[in-house]
Amino acid sequence: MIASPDASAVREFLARTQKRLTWIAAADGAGRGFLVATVLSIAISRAEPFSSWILYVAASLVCIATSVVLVRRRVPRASVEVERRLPECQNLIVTADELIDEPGRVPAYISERVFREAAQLTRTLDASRLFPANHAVMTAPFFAVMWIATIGLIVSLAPRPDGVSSSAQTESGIGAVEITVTPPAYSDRPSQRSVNPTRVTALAGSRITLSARANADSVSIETLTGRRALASVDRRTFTGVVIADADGFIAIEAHSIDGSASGRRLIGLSVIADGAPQVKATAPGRDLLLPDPNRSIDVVIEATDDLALASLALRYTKVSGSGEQFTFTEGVVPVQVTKVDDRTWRARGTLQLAGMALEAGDMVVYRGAATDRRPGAVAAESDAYIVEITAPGAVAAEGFAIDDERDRYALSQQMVVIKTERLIARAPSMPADSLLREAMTLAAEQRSVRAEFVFMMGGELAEEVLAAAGLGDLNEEAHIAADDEAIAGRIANQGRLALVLAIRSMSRANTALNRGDLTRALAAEKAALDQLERAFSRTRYILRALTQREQLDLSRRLTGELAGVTRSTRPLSPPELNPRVLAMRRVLASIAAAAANNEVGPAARISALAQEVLQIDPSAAVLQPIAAALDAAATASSDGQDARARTQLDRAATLLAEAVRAELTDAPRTRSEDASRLDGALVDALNRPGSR
Amino acid sequence: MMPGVLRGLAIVIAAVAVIDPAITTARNSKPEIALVTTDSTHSRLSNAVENGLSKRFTVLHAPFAGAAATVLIGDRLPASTAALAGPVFAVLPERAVPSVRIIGVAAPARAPLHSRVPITSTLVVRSGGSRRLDVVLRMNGIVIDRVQRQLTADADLSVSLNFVPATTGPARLQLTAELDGSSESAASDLLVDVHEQRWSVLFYDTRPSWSSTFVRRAIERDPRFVVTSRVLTSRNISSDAGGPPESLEPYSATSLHDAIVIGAPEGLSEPDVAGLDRFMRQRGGTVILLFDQNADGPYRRLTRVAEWTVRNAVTTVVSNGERLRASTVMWPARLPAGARPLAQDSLRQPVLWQLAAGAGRAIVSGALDAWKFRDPSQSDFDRFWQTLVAQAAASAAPPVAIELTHPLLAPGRSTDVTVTIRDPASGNPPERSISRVSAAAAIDLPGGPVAIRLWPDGLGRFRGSLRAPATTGTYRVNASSDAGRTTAVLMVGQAFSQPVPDQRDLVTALASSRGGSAVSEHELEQLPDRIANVLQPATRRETWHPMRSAWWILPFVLFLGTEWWWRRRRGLS
Repeated sequence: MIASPDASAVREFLARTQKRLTWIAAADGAGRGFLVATVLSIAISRAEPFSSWILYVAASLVCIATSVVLVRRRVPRASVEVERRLPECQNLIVTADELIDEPGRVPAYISERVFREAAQLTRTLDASRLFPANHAVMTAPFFAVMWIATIGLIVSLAPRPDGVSSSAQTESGIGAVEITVTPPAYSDRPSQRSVNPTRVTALAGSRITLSARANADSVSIETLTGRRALASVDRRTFTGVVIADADGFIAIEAHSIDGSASGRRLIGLSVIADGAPQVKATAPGRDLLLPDPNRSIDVVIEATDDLALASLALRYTKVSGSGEQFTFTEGVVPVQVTKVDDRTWRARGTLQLAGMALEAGDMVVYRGAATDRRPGAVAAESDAYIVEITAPGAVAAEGFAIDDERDRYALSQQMVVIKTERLIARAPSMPADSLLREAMTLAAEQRSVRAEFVFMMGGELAEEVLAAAGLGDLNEEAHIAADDEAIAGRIANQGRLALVLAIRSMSRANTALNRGDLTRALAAEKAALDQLERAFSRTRYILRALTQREQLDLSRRLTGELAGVTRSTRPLSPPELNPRVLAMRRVLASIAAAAANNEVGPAARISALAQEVLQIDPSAAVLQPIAAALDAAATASSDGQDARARTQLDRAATLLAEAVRAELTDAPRTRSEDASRLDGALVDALNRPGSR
Repeated sequence: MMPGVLRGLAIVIAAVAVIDPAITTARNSKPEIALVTTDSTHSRLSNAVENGLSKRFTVLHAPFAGAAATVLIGDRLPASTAALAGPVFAVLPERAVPSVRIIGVAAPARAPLHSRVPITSTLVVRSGGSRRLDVVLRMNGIVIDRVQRQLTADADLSVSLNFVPATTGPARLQLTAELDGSSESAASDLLVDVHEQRWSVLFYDTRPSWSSTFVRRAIERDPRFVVTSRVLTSRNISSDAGGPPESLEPYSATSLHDAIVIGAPEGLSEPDVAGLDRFMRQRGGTVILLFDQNADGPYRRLTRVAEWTVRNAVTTVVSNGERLRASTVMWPARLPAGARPLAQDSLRQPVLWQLAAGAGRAIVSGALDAWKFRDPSQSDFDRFWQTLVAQAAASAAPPVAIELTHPLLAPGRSTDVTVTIRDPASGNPPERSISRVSAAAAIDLPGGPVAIRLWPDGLGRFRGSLRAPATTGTYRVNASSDAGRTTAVLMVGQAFSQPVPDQRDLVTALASSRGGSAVSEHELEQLPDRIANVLQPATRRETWHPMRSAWWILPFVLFLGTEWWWRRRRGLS
């Protein structure tokens, strides 16, 4: 140990400088530590929103301590740092520092001189000027304040029931409820997570994962489809999955070991259906009537979807033939698809009519078809348009809507023909009476077919056409007599004429069958068939009439016998009360009862009311805030916040009364009978002759 | 000599005192003023008035017949003005700023379950600037309706809120009004007896009528009505629902219904019209005539209209905020005297109007084809007719009615009970003579019903007084007669708030009519002069005895003492 005063002066200077460097490094390290702790706290809050503030503080302290230690370890020797800052020292300080540690390395006079000069030098140096602490002094407190503010914000904004303390959550049985909505994979939408929501909105088919923290032995959830228990992850966390399929609610209820409910939470559920794509043919976008099939038609179709489209195609149906001989050929036209975005596509294609072997009267029905990405989704089609190759004089069809039972009538007549032919074939081997019986059975079938057409034409045929043709009473003889009128053109509509002639032929066939004259009957049946084909081939008048006429209820046509007319008396039937109003009124009465005597009432009862409100109509927007207010009242009540519970109950009752009010009319204002009588006397006096 | 004189004076005093002479003179007296305070909240003002008057008048805190004048303090009339003697002066209190006051509440005592009950309050607000007014209606303490208004100046407001009955039975409501910045709020308690009311309505169509048919369907959908109908489809052939009367002529048949709706009124016969007239005048019922064409007929006797004007144009008819549309409307070329329009079209013509007849009325609809516009987006067809027919049916008096003047009472307080028997009150005694009409009333107490003594108070009307039971709660008060029975609700509680009516104008008018005048609180110093100017100085002859004054003892003692001192000074004694 060197005891010279110069060496001591140098040693003191270096010690003082080393100490300053150390605390500057520590402050710098603390600042960095606070910064890292801030970032870490934010990360923790994102990952574990339910974390306690202790976790944040502990993690932060570790960060800060680690940072301080690491930085302090890298503090350089004071002598080296002084030389680095003051190159003009020319290693004198470093040399002196080394000689202090190892005094025997050089002769004494050298060391004395070194110490003397070093001491002279250090006396001119000021450590605070050499190593200013301004930066460290500024940054460390700044980051410390930032860290404290961040922790405070995280803790104050930590997810929990509105205005409810953590201890209160524990008492209420159900703490934080985390909801993760995972949309179906095809939707390409990200999962959404929320904590303690009052309402969840999910795409149909989404998985709703619930994670509820509860101080309970078991937790169950109730939806419109039923009640089931949540799985226990640990002693305080319960999880479960609900598939979003319809509007409704999720009621979470905690139970103690004896089965009694110890807490309840209600979450409204709104399910957004994945809508089918909207497809429309924008070009040509109308029916076309073409004189010949040697054309090509450019077709443009557009499709939009609420999520994303999967395919867009141009389909066509070639309809050829006539009457009972229609042939349908389906096909797809190649298209060039332009994707504006995932939800909007446009396609362009060309209908090559020349390659479809169309003849006059044939038609091509085309439409756009699009599918979205929903698995198993049925393609949505646009309006269908017709390209019709017409014969001269034909009228363009307005659309194409073939009745499902289109072929029934024609095929029935065909069947009568076939049965008659078979009967003729079997006739030689049959006894005469059996043959006649079979023929009469066929006649009944023929009448049935004819009746189908007559009633199919309804009143129009009976009143206009049949009257003109003399068919009003279905007298076969008269039908035949009216042939001349029909042929003479009194029945101008060609389609109707063909149909009327078909009916008459059926009448002739019926007459012949009843007489057992199968040959004549067969001829008449075929004539009827021929007329039916003509009727079908001209326009689709019949096709349209089928659908409309089948809806007629003949029992309501006010026909009957005059003698049967009598006074009709129906009993009084009480009006049906609006079940929605009744349910809302019942809830309102329950709220009033719960709030009677200035007491809010038990939380479970209020929560059950919230659930009852949602059960009235889960998708009714007007009821959702009512349920949310009731649920908030239940939560506040369970936590002993009676004032807040009362406020929420008031809000729920006001909204509920408003909803009921909209369904009702005003109660009448009554007036005193004396005033009414006075009014009447005044009117009598004013209107007495001579009074004015 | 001096001692003798002094002794003589003393002796004279003593002698005159023994004689005690009486003297009669005319003197002015202090007038006696009666102070009457109509509201206990004005005690401070009452003291100020007393202090101001007491120097010149003798002030007494009660009305009495001998008062020279009466000073009324407050903005309400006293229960009885008969006891106010002499000229009446009024002191009107200043209204505090900011302050709100409920001066009236209009609400039905009874309401049907399937209705919304409008409750209209009249408020006097002294805002003294821009303030928010919050009017709240509570049921069992729960807020069921609320109206907020931003006021920029003092205002007299009418605020409507709605009560939605949740269940049948008495519903206690409370209306409160609070003004932002004011520590005091105004409140008023209400009692509405909710019941499952079903009015009986008869639809009588002289032929099938679309107009009547669709109105009937709207009414049939409303649970407040029991609809009986008859549609005459041919001679002696009809389509009936329920048990409608064969004819409208007999009163016994029509009086069962609260309202009668006539489809195609031009088909009514003379006897039908006579029956409907009886129904209105004797039953107090309402007849609604639904026209679908302009045609003449005996019905004219009911409408008193000779000529109609028909217009073909789509128009909207509005009544009570509900719209009715029609493309053909008809109205009287000249509205009968006393008729009142109920709904007017866009040209302000009375398409729907009413005419009183006896205790009842006829309502005439000239919206000939309103049934064509039943789409809710175009009109309020169903609501329009449901409201109108309900109003018509509710205005028909029940066979027996009971009314409590104050249905909310503190224990021990009294209220008047009025029982009205419809038929005799309408001048329509059925079989029995008027003298045989009787009624009884009783209040249901836990120990059993307690009768209320009723006294006749006009034809078919009885009046009694009911003292509220000592126990708080809700009580039923029943009334019965040969015509039927009915009930009312009495609620007994400790702290019911009532509207505080503002009768400043009436008080001022009363003061003027009684020879006095009204002064406001800040003009209080003028009151003594005003009273003095009105009152004639009252002189009265008084007999007084001057020697009975005790002051005579002083000169008496003085004279004797001086005389004694004089003699002692001279050495005479």
